[in-house]
Amino acid sequence: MSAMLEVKDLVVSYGKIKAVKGISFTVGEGEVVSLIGTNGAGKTTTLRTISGLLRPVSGSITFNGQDLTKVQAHDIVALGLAHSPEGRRIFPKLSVEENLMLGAFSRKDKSIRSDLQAAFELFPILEERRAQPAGTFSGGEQQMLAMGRAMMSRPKLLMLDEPSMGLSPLMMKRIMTTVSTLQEQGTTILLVEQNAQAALKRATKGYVLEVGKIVLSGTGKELLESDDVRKAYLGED
Amino acid sequence: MDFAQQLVNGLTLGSLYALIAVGYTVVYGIIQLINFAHGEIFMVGAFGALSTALLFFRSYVDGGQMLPFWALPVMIIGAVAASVTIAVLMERIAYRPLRNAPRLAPLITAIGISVFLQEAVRLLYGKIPSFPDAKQKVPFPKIAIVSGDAWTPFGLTIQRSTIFTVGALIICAAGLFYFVSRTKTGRAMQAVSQDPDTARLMGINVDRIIVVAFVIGATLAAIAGIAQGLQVTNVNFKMGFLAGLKAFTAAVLGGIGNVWGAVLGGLTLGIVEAMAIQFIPGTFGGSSWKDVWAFAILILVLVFRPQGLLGAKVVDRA
Repeated sequence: MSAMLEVKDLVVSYGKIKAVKGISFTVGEGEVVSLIGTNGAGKTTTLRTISGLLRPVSGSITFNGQDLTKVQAHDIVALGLAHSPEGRRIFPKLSVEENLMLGAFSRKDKSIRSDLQAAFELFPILEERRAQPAGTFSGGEQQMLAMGRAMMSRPKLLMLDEPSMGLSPLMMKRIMTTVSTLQEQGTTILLVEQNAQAALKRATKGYVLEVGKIVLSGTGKELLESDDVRKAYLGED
Repeated sequence: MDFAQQLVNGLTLGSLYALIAVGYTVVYGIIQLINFAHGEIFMVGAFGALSTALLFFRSYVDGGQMLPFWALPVMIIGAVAASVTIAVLMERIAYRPLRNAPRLAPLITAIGISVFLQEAVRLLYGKIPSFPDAKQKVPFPKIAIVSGDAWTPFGLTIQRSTIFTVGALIICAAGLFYFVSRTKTGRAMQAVSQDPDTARLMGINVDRIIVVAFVIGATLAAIAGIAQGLQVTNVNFKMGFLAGLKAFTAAVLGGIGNVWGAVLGGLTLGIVEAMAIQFIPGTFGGSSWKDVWAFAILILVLVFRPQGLLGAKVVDRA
């Protein structure tokens, strides 16, 4: 089976500093793949390069057979790849509904309205506050909005960058449950997390990143049980 | 009565400033660039209108007659076409290559473009066959209904060009409101101004939105160019300099980056100037001091309320 997303020997740098030093991984259709690692491991840089916001020094990114490194950032979402960025990055002065509709900016089909309803069903609070400026939301609500907005493009692959960052345990659980729901509904997910426990529990596959390199990979279960991961990321001795 | 009359004068002046100020503010809102050549876009608009009159209504111009009213929309199209063309070329040739340069580079480039456009009009306009020399003032044609005798309701003097200017501002502001808040491109514009990277993730072509911002600014500036031509009945290659600086002051006064701030700032500045002419007594009164008061306001705003009347103090970027 050929992978939906294939990243091969990817190198990305900021000026002279190499942030990603030749990583390779694949995401197959229907999978939840987790990239875990500490701050500065290169997780966000990897996602931003896949979305075209950054350009790689070398290596390839192939999505459904197409080379993404030659596609402009604003054309990538239309290929079926949505990116919910680190820090949520909702548009603070626009209303909830306007934020969601911007998620469907690249679409021209007629079912945008019904997808808006689907997003409201996924996160009912968004419907209650559809006219409210998004900047007044709490972190958890903003995360829901960011995910709903990403889903509005009807992605084949959804990339989530640290969705649990700064959230209460309860809200974190809510977000992670939604990740599972989305997978069940048929969305493939690439999940970047510092919270290894939550990320690996749901992952079909996981990769551990350390200072720009993949140091460990395996199924979510394997990684959760591995001594290295337990020591480094789960705080166990 | 003096007060009411100065209010009318102030609104006229202020509407003109507001129309130009919107161009500074929309471009700044998207790419944080003060386009100091925007005053010249206004000047080019006025010359575009004049050229249209010379090309299509030559017999009226030569005969010293008023142009028919339907010449006005034709001249507006000519003015907008001229301004938009120059603004789009300016963005493409001069600013886009400097997108990631230090901020001083595009600022100095803007000043260069400004001088370039003034000199180009001064030296080349008269070289176009049958066009008048533009090294000095060039008379601006009069147009039926919007030129001619002033109205004098309740003892006030209201020039016809005032109605045109204020009316143009109202229509443009309403159109802009609709565009920004109700259309897909308008919302994309807001998204780019709040967070360009995330806007790209939504599939928004940021380069295209930047061009849209320049086009909007140029359209309003072109209409302001006609308003100015009707008000003072002549145009000249330097007219963009002072008007541009005043409009920039208005944009800062209202809160640069905020479209409604530009409108409010323009009207405020115009009214303050008009009132200063009338009510400041002695040496410092009269029209020769009005520019001093206008720029004194700019300095006061920069010192005490740098974010402007409607500007937010902190850029909230979650």
